[in-house]
Amino acid sequence: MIQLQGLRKRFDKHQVLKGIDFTAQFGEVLAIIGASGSGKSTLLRCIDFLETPDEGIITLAGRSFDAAKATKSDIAYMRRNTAMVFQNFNLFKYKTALENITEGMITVQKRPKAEAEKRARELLEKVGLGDRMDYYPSKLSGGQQQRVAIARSLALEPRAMLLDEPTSALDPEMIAEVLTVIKNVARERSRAMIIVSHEMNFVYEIADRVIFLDEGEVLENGTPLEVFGAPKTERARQFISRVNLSNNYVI
Amino acid sequence: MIFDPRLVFTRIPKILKYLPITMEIAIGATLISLIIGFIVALIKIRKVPVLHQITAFYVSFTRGTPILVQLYATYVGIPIILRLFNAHFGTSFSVNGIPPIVFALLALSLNDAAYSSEAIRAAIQAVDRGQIEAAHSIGMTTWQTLRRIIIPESLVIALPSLGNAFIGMIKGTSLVFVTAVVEMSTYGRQLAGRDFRYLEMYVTLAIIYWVITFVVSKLLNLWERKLKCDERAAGGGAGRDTAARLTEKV
Repeated sequence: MIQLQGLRKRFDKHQVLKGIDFTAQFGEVLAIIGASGSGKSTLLRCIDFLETPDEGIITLAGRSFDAAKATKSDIAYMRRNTAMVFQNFNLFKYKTALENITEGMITVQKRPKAEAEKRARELLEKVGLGDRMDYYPSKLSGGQQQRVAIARSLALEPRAMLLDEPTSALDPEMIAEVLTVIKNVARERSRAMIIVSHEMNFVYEIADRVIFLDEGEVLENGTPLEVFGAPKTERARQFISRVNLSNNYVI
Repeated sequence: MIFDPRLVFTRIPKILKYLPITMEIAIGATLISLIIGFIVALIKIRKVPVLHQITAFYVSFTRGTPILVQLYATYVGIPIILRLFNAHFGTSFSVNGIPPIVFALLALSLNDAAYSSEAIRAAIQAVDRGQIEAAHSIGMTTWQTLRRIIIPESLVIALPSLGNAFIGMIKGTSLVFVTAVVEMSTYGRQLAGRDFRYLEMYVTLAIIYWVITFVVSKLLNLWERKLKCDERAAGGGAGRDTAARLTEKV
């Protein structure tokens, strides 16, 4: 499991995260929702140490450490066992789709090149881009780039996959293809998935648990049915009434 | 005859015998300057205390003094430093043991690095933050990120200005007579000293330098165009202009 206890992060005078607690089991899909600026992305980036948390205890697969005193080895451990999918894809622009995926396997995991390429091909097939292996990112559509990015994160066999608004930068017609890939990955149930998303229907459909974040605090933490159907707090009720969940999910 | 045009051409083969030395100095000094420039750039970016101030002084001093003065200072200064060193530590390093080309390489590369460090710094900082985050998120260490992502990407950005620096360096080698290295210009002067046909000799040298720099700049253009093709395939390339602007010599 991956667990956060009392995670806090401040940018200058602005307290972005005010003590976050949650646990996600391996195999579980956890969605984080909330308004812009509520700290969702920062939370995800703190797990991967792209931002350094100020306080809190982080536990991943039995290893636990104090975020305030994270050592190089702790940070490397977190980065190697989690994988981030970014809003802007962030593919390596001078590497082909295939090279983007093999890079981590070869440089970080020291796997043989042939084995890494074989695995990368399988993964590209899996995300439906078997015919785009030698394309540079700029020759791929946004949706295709994001699917490569998902394959890149899967290649490292992370214990936890972190998806930071994976469809927010996409044209509407490309959102579906990326969501389908994410759904397929989620169905494997072999890793924890933590998704920050504004696609409420999608969240409702695939999440096992939903966390509602507001101004750096967890206000709701429950099943999609609980959070969307019967939010406990007024703030969450307001937020959920404003996002349009399509009719088939109305309870 | 006041000016003998034939002499301009008949001496070309003789002078070209010293072309390898000239290119050796230009290429050697450029490579050393890239390494020094890269280290200086990293110190600047990381703002390493103490070293940061030292490199700032070094860059300002080097850019603010003529290369000829620097060459003289190196040639005259190093033997004195060596003698002081010997007196102080009881060693017996001999100045004569140092080949003259070392003085030339040292002075030229230190001079060039002061300029190229700015180009390299700008190029490194032009690398998209997202690329670095992606590298970190897949577990790369700082060094791996530098080697696999930042250096290759910044090289593409810095190539035009580093290419210019290399052409400048080829011409700069004509100053190393100061350090007693015999390259094309020095040899030319020696030849002309025999019959006092200096003008013919300088015209010969001008033609040779011009042809070399012409060919080199064409090759660099080809390389740049190839990288641009890759880049068009790869997208991006921001920061290139900034890098070029920053290296214009003051």
